[in-house]
Amino acid sequence: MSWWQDINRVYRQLFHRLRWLVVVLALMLYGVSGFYSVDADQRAVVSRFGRIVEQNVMPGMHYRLPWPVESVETLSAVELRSINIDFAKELDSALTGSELTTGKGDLIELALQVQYSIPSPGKFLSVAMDAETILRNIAKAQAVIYVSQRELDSLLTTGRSDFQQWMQQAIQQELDSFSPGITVTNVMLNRLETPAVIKQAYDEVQMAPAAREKLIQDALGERETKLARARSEVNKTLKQAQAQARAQVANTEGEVQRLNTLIVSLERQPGLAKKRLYLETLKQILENARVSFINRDKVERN
Amino acid sequence: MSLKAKIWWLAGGLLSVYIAATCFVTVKEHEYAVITQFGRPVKTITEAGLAVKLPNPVQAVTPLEKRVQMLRLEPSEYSTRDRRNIVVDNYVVWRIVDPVAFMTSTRTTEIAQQRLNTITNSQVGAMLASYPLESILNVDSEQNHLDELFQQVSERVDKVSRQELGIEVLAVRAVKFGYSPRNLKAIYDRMSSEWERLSKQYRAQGHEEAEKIRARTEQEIAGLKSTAYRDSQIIKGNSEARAAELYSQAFESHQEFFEFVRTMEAYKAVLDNNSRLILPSDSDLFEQLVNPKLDAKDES
Repeated sequence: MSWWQDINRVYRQLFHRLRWLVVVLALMLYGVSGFYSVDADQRAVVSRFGRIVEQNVMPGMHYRLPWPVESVETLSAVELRSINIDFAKELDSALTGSELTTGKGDLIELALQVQYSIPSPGKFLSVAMDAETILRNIAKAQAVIYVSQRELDSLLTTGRSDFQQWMQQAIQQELDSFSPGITVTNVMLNRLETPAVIKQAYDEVQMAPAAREKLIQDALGERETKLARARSEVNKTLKQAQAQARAQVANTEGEVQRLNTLIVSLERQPGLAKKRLYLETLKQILENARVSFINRDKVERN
Repeated sequence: MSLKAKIWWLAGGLLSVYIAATCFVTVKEHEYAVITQFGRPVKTITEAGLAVKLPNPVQAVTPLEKRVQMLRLEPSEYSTRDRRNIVVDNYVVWRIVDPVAFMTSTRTTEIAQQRLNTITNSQVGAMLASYPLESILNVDSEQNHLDELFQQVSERVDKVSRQELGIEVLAVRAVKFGYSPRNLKAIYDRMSSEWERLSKQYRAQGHEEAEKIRARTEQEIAGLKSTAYRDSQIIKGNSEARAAELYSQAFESHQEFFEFVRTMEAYKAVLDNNSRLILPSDSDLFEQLVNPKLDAKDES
């Protein structure tokens, strides 16, 4: 076997002399394998023989003892994580119905987002198995509790910010019972509304107060117009009455004045004047009137 | 070195590697390690890190999950005390607290989950059957026992599971608590008819208010008009009185003439174009017409 002999020869000549170098190189490589880096959005956890010795390693270059002594686990996006929960899209919604039930037995649709951070990656990895699923279910359960204590109207109108705050506290409190290293930073309600099937009826209720107000305002407007018209009418009536009164007095004064003048002239020759006046009157009457004469025994006509 | 010695060295080396490999146990942060001696648990290591045990096959190690786990149950229908059907979808948050008890009672997580499932379902069923629906769902926080109910369920399940399974139950909660989808239509109908009633009520209120305003307006207008009528009548009365006074002053000073002149004027006013006079032909008035006295003479 000549090739075997060749290898033996080369080994003896070359590597036999370099064997220490090989050992040193191997040891160096082993030592260097302990370096690891953590990205800007990551945190790392270091365990020694399974026991966590570094809970929260910040981004940068780091060193740990090589395998099998120490090991590293990295976790991304610890500062801002979020889960979206839409009750209508959950797996069981076909079987159980997707709406939540309020304190009065009404139904409401809800979708929310829970934002959280992981201040303690070591706990996050070691306290709970699949902490996100647990968080998701806790959030759903707390929403069910909150909605069961409220009325539909208050939830839909004024209750939103209360709901969000309450949720944040309640979820955190539930989590704190086993401290999985999660801090709930914010809860936002993405959708909170009546079931789509009956939305129209609800929208009509929302419009109803405005409709009522419009009826009242219309009546008030009508009232103003009518009152203004009545005032002007009344004013006119009074003005007319005053004018008539003045006219009557003035007419009477004039007439009396005229009669007085006439009477003064009549008093100078009473009989004659009287006769003249009588005849004048007679003339006027007879000019206009139709006159029939009657005899004692027969009737004449002119 | 003889061949025999070499074999002994080799055997000794292999043995020491085997011992090193099986005597040292790495316990992870999220695990318990139960050490069994010929199958019997002798020691539980709860602290993570490196531990020592006798080599296999004398002592073996079984790692068990220390972390909190979640178990989702199948949604199911329960009946409340007032016989209302309610669909409830539960989850259980649990963890192993007594590894030896857990190992001896269940062996695997699947079996533990089945047991938990059964215990929880029966407790939830029992609790729901002891409350009427209106003391579970209620706007009044005194009357709303939903949270309390599940806390009680958690406590009871926890008590049982600790004894039986070595499991601590942290929480049993419902992610769904409500009517069966079969009743959905009826609830929708009720909700929308309530809203329709409310809409109608608002509109009726609007009409009522408007009618009130209209009635008040009419009343005020009538008041204005009657006041105006009264005032104009007073004005008229005053002017008539004034006129009468003027006449009477004139009348007092020249009664006879005044009467005469007024009478004449009254004749003129009364007897207009359409009047017909029927007079006796031998009246004094027409004496001159019939039998004129042409020598005029002053009578005064």
